[in-house]
Parts: sequence; C-alpha cells; structure tokens
Amino acid sequence: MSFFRQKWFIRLALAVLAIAGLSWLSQLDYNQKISSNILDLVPSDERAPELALTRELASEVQSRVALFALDLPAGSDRRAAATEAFMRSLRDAPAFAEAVSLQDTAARDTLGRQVFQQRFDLLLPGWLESNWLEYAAGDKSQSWEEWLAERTVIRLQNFLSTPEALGFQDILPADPLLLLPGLVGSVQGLDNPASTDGAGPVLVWARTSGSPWKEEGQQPVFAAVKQAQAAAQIEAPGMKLRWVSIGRFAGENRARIEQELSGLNLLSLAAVMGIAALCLKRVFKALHLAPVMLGGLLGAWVATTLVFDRVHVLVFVVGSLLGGVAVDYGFYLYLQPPAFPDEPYRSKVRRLIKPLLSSALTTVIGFSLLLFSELPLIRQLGVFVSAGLLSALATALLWFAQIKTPFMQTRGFASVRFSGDRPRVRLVARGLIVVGVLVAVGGPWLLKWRDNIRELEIPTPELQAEATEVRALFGDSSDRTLYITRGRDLAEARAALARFSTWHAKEHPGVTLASIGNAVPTASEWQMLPERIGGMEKFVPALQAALERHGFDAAAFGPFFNDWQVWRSAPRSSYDEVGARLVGALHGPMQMMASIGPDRCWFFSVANHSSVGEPPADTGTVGVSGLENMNQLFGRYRVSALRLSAWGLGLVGLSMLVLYGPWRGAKIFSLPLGSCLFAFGLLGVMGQTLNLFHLLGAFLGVCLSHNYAIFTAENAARGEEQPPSIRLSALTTAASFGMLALSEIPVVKALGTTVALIVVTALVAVELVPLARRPLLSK
Amino acid sequence: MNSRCRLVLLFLLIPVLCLATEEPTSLAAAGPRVEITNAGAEWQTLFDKLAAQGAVFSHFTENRWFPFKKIPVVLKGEMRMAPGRGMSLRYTQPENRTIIMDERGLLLRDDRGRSREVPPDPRAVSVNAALLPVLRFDQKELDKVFFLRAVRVEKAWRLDFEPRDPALVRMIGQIIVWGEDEKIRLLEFRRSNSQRIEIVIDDSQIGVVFSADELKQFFR
Repeated sequence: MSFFRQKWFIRLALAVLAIAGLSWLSQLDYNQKISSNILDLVPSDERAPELALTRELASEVQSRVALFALDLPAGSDRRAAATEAFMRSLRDAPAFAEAVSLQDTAARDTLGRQVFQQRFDLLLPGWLESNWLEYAAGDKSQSWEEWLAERTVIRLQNFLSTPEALGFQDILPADPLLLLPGLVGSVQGLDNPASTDGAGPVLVWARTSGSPWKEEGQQPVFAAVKQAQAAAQIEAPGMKLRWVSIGRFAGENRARIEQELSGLNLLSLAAVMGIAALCLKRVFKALHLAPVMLGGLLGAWVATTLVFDRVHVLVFVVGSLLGGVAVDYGFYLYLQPPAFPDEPYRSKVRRLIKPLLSSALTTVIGFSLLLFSELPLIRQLGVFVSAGLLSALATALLWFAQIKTPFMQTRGFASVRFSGDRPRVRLVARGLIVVGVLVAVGGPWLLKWRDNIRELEIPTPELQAEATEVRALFGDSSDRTLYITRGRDLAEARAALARFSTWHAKEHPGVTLASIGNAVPTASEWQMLPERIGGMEKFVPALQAALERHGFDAAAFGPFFNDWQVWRSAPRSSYDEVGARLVGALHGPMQMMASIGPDRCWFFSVANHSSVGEPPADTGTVGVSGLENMNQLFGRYRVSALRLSAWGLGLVGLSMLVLYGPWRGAKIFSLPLGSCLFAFGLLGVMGQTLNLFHLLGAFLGVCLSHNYAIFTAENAARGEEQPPSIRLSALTTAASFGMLALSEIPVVKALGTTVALIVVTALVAVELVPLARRPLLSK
Repeated sequence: MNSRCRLVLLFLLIPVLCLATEEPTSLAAAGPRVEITNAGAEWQTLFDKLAAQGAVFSHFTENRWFPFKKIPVVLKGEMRMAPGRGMSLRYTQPENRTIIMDERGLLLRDDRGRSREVPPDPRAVSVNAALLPVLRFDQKELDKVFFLRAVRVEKAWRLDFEPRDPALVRMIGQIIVWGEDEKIRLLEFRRSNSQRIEIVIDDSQIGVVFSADELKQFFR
C-alpha cells in the first residue's frame, strides 16, 4: 500500500472511531450516568448488612432531610408571621415534600393519639406477660384477676406520688394500667428538642422531593430555600437563615470538582507544554502527542460508560490522569530515532512493538485485576485505565503511521547522557542509591493508614461549621448514640430490639434506651395475648373493687372500663397490621424512628451516652455513627485493594520474568517495585497518613515506572542508550501529577503526590544507576 | 328553724356582711385584680421583701388532689430555693426523689443521683418559665405571664396568679400563694377543686447559706 493510500485509510479509520465514540458519549444522560454520591462508592450488594442498611438509610431517608434554623430578632412580633411565611413557601415548592416546624406538635400529637387508641393492642400484651411471669413466680394464693387488679391499683397509687403523675392525670381515668406512662419513659428523647425560648432560633425540619445526589434535588431546592427566605424576610427583614442538607454539600462538591477538573487540567497541560517547550526542538510538533492522549481518554470514557450503568465522577477526576500514562507510548514511538535513514514506519514499529506491547499489556493485566474489587470505584477505574491504555496504544500506532516523519528530535540537554567517570560522582550516586534502598526497606514500616470517607469530599469549612451549629440545635451531640436494629420483618426486628435492650441495660445500667419499637409487643407476647385475656373475665369487677378499697372513685375510671369492653369484643388485628398502623402514624422527623417494608424492618434507638463498643451481632443492631461505618468499610476495601494490587503487581512481575527471562525480568521489575517502596518509605519517614487512594496512586505509578524500565531495558538490549522519551515522559508526568498534588480534594492530592513521587524516583533511579556503574558504561 | 333562731342568725351575720363590703376578713377567696407592676405601696413592700429574701430552706407537705381519688396523696419533703439556681424539691416520703426547676427546665433526680430531664412542651410557655418568676417575685416577668389578684387580712395575704396564656391555664391552672409577713405558708396549683396540688410550707428559714455539697446535690 502506498503511503498516500495508507495515510487516508488510517485517517478514515481514526475519524470513524472518533465519531463513533463521540456519538456514543453525546447521547448519554450525564445526570443519570455520572454520580457524585459518596454512597455510590459502596457496592449496592454490600455484604455487611449493617453497611447496606446504613447505605439505604443514608441514601433514601436521611439524605433528603434539610434542617433550618431561622434566626429572628428577639421579641419580634413578626416572629410567627415570618416563620409561617417561610413554611408556606417551602410547602408550596415542588422541591419539598414536607416541611414541619419543631414548635408544631401535630406529628407528636398524632403519634400520641395513635398509641393511645391502640394501647391495648400495642402495650397490653407486654404488660400482661410481665405481670403473668410475676404472678406465676408467686404463691398463687389469689386468683389471677384478683392478684392483677390489686397489683394494678397499688402501682397506680404509687404512681400518683411521682412527678410524672401530674402530667398524666388527665389520661389516668382511661389508663389505670399505666400503659402509656410506662411507655413514655422508653421513648423519650427520640424527637428533636424544640427551643421554647422566645429569643432562640425557630427550627424547621423538611424533606426534599428529589434525591440530593441528583440535579433535581439540588438547584430546585436551593431556589426554593432562597424564595422561602425572601418570603420570611418580607415579614421580618432582620431574619437570618442557617441550614444544612446533604444536597447543599453535594452541590458544592460538584461545583468544586468541576472547577478543580478544569483548573488542574489546564495547569497540568501548561506544565506539560512547558516541559515540552524546554526539551523539544520544535514544540508545535508535540501536538502530535495530543491525539494519543485524546484517543486514550475517548476509549476510556466510551468503555467505562458502556460497561457501567452509573459511574462515579471521581473515576473521571482520577482517570484524567490517564493522559500521563497514555502519552508515554506517543513519546516512545515519536522520540525514537530511526534505526537507519528513511527507515519505514512499519520497520520502526516492528522494532518497538515488543516493549510497547509488553508495557501496555502488562499494565492492562495489572489494572484488569481491579475488576475483581468489591468497590465499584476501583472496578470502574480498572476498566477506565485498561481501556484507555489500549486505546492510547492503538491511537499512537495509527496516528504516527499517517504522518510523513514520525520522529521528533529533542534538544541536546534532554538527551545528554551522564556518566559516572569521576569517582566522586560515582560515590555520591552510590550513596544516594544506598539511602534510597534504606528508605525503601525501612520507611514503609513507619506508615500509618487511615481511611476516611470524608476525604472523598472537598473540605467546605464554612458549610461544615454552619451544619454543625444547626445539627446541634436539632439535638445532635456526641453524648447521644444512635442505633439501628433490623430484621427481615416486624417480628424479627422486635425480637432483636428486645435482645439489644437486654444487652444495653447490662452495658449501660440506668441509661434509658429510647425506641418507638418499645411500643410494639414482641411476637411471642402477641401470641400469648388470647390466652392471657381469656382468663380475665372477672378482671373488671376485681379492679373496681380494688380501686374502691384503695380510696379511688371507681366510677371515675369509666373511660377505661368502656374502652376495655369495646376492645375485648372487637375482632383482633394481625400482628403486622398493628405494627404497620403505628409506623403509619409517624410523620415529620418521627418518620426516621422506624420503617416497615417488604423484607426489612428497622427501629432507631437513642441512648444518652457517647458511642462505645458495638452491640453483639445477635442483637441485629449497629451503632449509627454517621459515616464512621463507611470509614470502616473503606478500611476493609483498602485491605482488599492492597491484596488485589499485590496480585496485580505479582502478575506484572511474572509477565516480565516470562517475557524477558528470570534475571532480566527481575531487573526490569525491580525499578517500579523499588520506586514504589521508596515513595511509600519516604511518606512513612515524613509521618504521612495514607489511605486507599495512595494505594491506587501507587498502582498507577508502578505501571508508569514499569514502562520506563521496559523501554530502558529494550534499548540496552539493542545496545542503544536509554531513550530520551523516558526523561521527557517522566518529567511531564511528574509535572502534571505534581500539579494534582495542589488539589483541595484529598483523594486527588493523594493520587497526585504518590504518582509524582514514584515517577520521579524511577527517573532518578534510571539516571543514577549508570552513574554508579562507571566501569560498565565506560566500556 | 324557728323565726327566733332566724333572727339571731341574721343579727349575727349583719356585721360580717357589712365587713365584707369594706375589706376582706378571710383569705378563702381571691382578692381584687391588682396591677403587678403598679400594685401600690402596700403590695410593693411585700413584693420587695419576697424578692429580697435570698436563699430559703423549708420543710413542706404536699397534698395532691386528683378527681378520681377520694383522699389526697400526701408527700413530704424539703424545699430549697437559691437565687440564680431555681427551686429544688426533695421528697422524702413516700419515696426519696428530687425535682429541680431552673432556667434550663425540669430535672428529675432519683435516690441514686441519676438525673432525667423533662423535655419542654413547645405548645406553651414552659412550666418552669412560668413558675420561676413566682418563686423569685420578679414583677416584670410575672406581669408578662400572669394576671394577679391579691388580698390581705392583717399580716396574712393571698396572691392569685392566673396565666394570661390559655394553654398554660390548661396545663397548670392558677397558682395561689398564701403567706404571712414575708413568709410563704402555702403554694397551690389549682386546675379545679378536685384537681389541685397544695404545698404547705412548715418552717421556713430565710437567708440560709447552702454548702457546696448541698448545691451540687440539690441543684444543677
């Protein structure tokens, strides 16, 4: 094929591929396809049920909650009007599904009424069962009804001398069994404390209609809040608003990530161009490297969006670094001088294809192992990098086939070879190598690992401070611990709650565990109910007599006797219906207390003590320390990623041994491995705390330095000097990744620092080794 | 009753009826409405004395009347009032238990020292916010929350505080304070005749100094 025909054929192929890729990308719905939700980093089928539950809760329920604190001038007569205007505006906005003032006790009253109406179904089974156990343990000298009536009245008598009696005196005629007073103690603390101070902020709880992780849960919500604030300020011009919602953080994160992406990528590009301008004779010719990078990125985007339904935005942030690896192939092909004048491109490719393929395929093998990771982000990265590298290599091979002179010269200093002729230079080089080895061997032992999911977010101190203030007003405190108790159905969850309550009472004696689940009988108590009330035909007259005996007016308890008869003659509801009716009465902030759904049921519990120790597994309960669970999860995934990385590296090393033989393969592999160990060692010596993303950065860095090792070894095998592409590639990579170390996103910073450090170490090692081995070089 | 007896009774009642139209002779009923912040010198002197009495310690007997109980429930204990700390009621009968009422709300403390806060009810001005001005005789605050009726017979007096907020009326009813000179003898929280609490104060010691241990034990 003539060069002319070859050129146009290749250009056509490149154009078709580019158009196909861009067409695919242009028709995607990016709001649906790309997620910035931290929780999407956790697998949806997470094997630890507590984490799956936390994910579900955080994603579906908690994340839609928005908390507002309206600071209104003290004593303002417009206070109520401003609050009403704010609430009305929020309720009218489609972005909000619900808005409740904490001064408004409607939700609490509804729940109270529901529990009162259902008191015999909900509370009587447990009450009867505990009394029966007490009766059965006694001498049974009285009949069950008489014993129970007497005990009931004695307890009532004692209750009247407690402070709580004054609060319950109005309902006692309908509840002499003290079912409700008995419950109140075990549910107090569940609802948010509302400030009754006329000068304090007005607190408003709201739920957004859309998910805060998507666009519809962000901008429309912000607009609605702005509008509500304006409405309130018409009534009270001095009103100030503090508020917190996940959507606010997510929106801020998204904006900052976009800003970072464009800013850092421009900086990286400028750094790369700067180095290219310094090292290349004709800078504009470096533009031939751009299609290699763009082809790699296009292939990566297309493959990742094809394979995954939803891709986390961090994949693209981290994946933009792929350009640094992809450009290596371009550098190697383009900067490699022809073996002889007018060497055909095919001959050049034949000469260089082995190191190129070795480098690309071994890296792809390594990254492909990440597909076995449990963490979606790592799997997505595995596909992104593998597909990107193959696309970059293919683009490089095709692109340079259609240009007339596929060779670019570097400036003299860029390809100058240092020699270790002078003993002093040799000594310094060897000294540096020894120090490097010591750091590589000893430093990693000093490493500290800590995984914090917060590092995936961009720090937003002002928003964070406002959120902390508002949450504190809503009762969030380090002295309170939240627990979730779960089960596949109501019976299982309630049984688990009973076990958890027993454990909690033992671990934290005297501390009340508040849970709405306490209002639900256990399944066994419910099953015993017919038998227990079956033997209580004479309970009413026995109770009336006991009341009179103890100085009560039995007639005043008419409401109770009436309700009792009605309940006894009514058809009995099922256990699940009773529970569902109670949960159905939870509105506003109380919705968070419990949930009954298909195949799962959970209860929230609150205890006034700081979080210490996790409950045993058989209690079906976990402490909800917000994202702390996620941190544990990330810690576990780091171990998993470490294992996969080790396997990946092992596979890369093995490929080297197979391709280049044991001795040469080991020598090639020692460069990336040594550079990685040195980088970790240096970070360890500097007392840095590392996380999962340093590990991923190291994997990327190893693959890059692995390229340099192969290209150096290949040139050495052909008796050529090390190619200038290594120096140029390492410098551009270090510059671009070094820029990422300036990122405010801790994850990107971790990746940038690690990769830059490994690449620079590899370059220094490649330069130092010849200096330290003068006798070989001098020959 | 024959006609002579009726005449004797009428004769006996005449001076009583005459006196009733001039000035009260008993504290059985509430007195006339008095402006709290403009009560006149006679009442102002009393209010000033009550406001300035400092820390107070006394024993008390509490009678709780419930509409469904024929006889009251009787509790006994000690009352401590400390300026800036609020009021502490330590019940000794029938059970040891302490109630602390201060600016932060109501706190229940059992015999083992375990405390439990009573969450505020956002529907109305909280009970403690209503009671504390009464205990301190803070006229400005009292005027915001209550109407006052006052009556005096020689050294004895009776002050009826009726909440301005109907929700607070439903919650605590009226607060009635009986006293003699500058000493409070009886506090009554009255929702109705059959639903009320009387706190009979026995031996009041005014201007006492509580030790640090006492403050820690009986206040927040």
